[in-house]
Amino acid sequence: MEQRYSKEIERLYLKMYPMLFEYARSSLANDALAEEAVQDTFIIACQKAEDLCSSKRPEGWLVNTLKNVLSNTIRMQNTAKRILTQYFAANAKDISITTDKLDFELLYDDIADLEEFKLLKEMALDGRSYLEMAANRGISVATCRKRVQRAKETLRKKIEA
Amino acid sequence: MPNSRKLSKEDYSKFDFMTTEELQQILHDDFEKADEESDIDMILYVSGLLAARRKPGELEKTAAESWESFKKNYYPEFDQAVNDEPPEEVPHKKRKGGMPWWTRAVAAAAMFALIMGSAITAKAFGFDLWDIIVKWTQETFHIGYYGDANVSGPQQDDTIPYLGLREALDALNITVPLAPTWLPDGFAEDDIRIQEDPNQRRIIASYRCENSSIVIRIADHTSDNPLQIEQSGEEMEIYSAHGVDYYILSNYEQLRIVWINQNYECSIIGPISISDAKKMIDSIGGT
Repeated sequence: MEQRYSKEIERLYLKMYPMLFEYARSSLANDALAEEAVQDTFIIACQKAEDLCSSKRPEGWLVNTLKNVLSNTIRMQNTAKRILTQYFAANAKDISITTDKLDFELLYDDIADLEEFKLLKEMALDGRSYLEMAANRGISVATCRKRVQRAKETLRKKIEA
Repeated sequence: MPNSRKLSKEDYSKFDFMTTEELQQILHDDFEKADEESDIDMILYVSGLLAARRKPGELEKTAAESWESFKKNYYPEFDQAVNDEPPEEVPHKKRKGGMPWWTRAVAAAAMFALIMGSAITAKAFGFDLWDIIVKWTQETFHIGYYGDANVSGPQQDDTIPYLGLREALDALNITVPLAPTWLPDGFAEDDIRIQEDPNQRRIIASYRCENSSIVIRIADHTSDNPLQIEQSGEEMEIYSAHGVDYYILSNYEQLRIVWINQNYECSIIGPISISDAKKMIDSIGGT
């Protein structure tokens, strides 16, 4: 990335963060997820720095990108919820899936990687951000995303099997 | 925004008298109307109002703290990406000092071998030899075709990581053998990502071992932006395997392997020994 782009992205971040955060917060109703949506927006901004900086209105570019990120976030959460619900339904145990105190070790010991499964559950049902989950486990956000993705794939395969 | 009519700036004062909940609802409604274009001025005004109503310390992070978190947790490549900016090309200029004669000889041989080697590959895949661009200077190494590389492919969500390098290659319908199956001891997959813009698709795969990392980059070769690598000119070796020439370059403390295979330009960088580099290359295999 060219230095002029990086400076501009930093400037835009510092200027736009409070407003983008409020926009994201109004739909996600969760501070950590709202911040994460802004962070994801700026990952795209870095990857498409030239587009952003050559845009007639970078602020508008960021708002529109944030809207896409929010749509993706909500869709991914819903997908994860759906997969979990399907899995729970197919492996019905006498417990509500909405309880916060699921004992996964006891209930779902057939799941290959409980740690990944817990991450998926925290993301989909508890509304935790990747940063929160990563910080709790001492892993990177990227690794956390990957594990959630892997858990989704694992469950999907189990459901389809 | 309740309606799509654009308000004049004067009209925005009406928002000042709305409750926080009402303002949040306006933003939420705007998001829900995905098929309608947002009134950006209004969005910025309303969201700015909400931000201004926050008490100091009410939020966990300030913009500056969030920026630091962004660089540390979400996009650690940021600083590296800035530093990777290719140096501006300087017109012919006599350099003082520079590489020893034998290194220049190796470089010249490399350039020749690259052209000849690429000619065979290029011819096999329909590229014109004289469209190949190769530049070698003391500081940089360029490699590429100036052909009509076809870089069309499916659009990928560049924020979603992939499970493995092979999966990422599959996702882009890349069947050319480009991914090593052997890594030096201790290195494990850390992150696989696809980045995409209208001109190029890139897969960035990183592998970690404690504080060291190996990064594999595979990208569509684009006609207007041949691969350019900054290098220190200390060591260079050409290693051929499965009909492809791999250029092993030292880059300060790192070793870099660079090659082009069909429409793809690839590089591997990391604290790798020459023998490990060759093992990785051998594991890539051929068609």
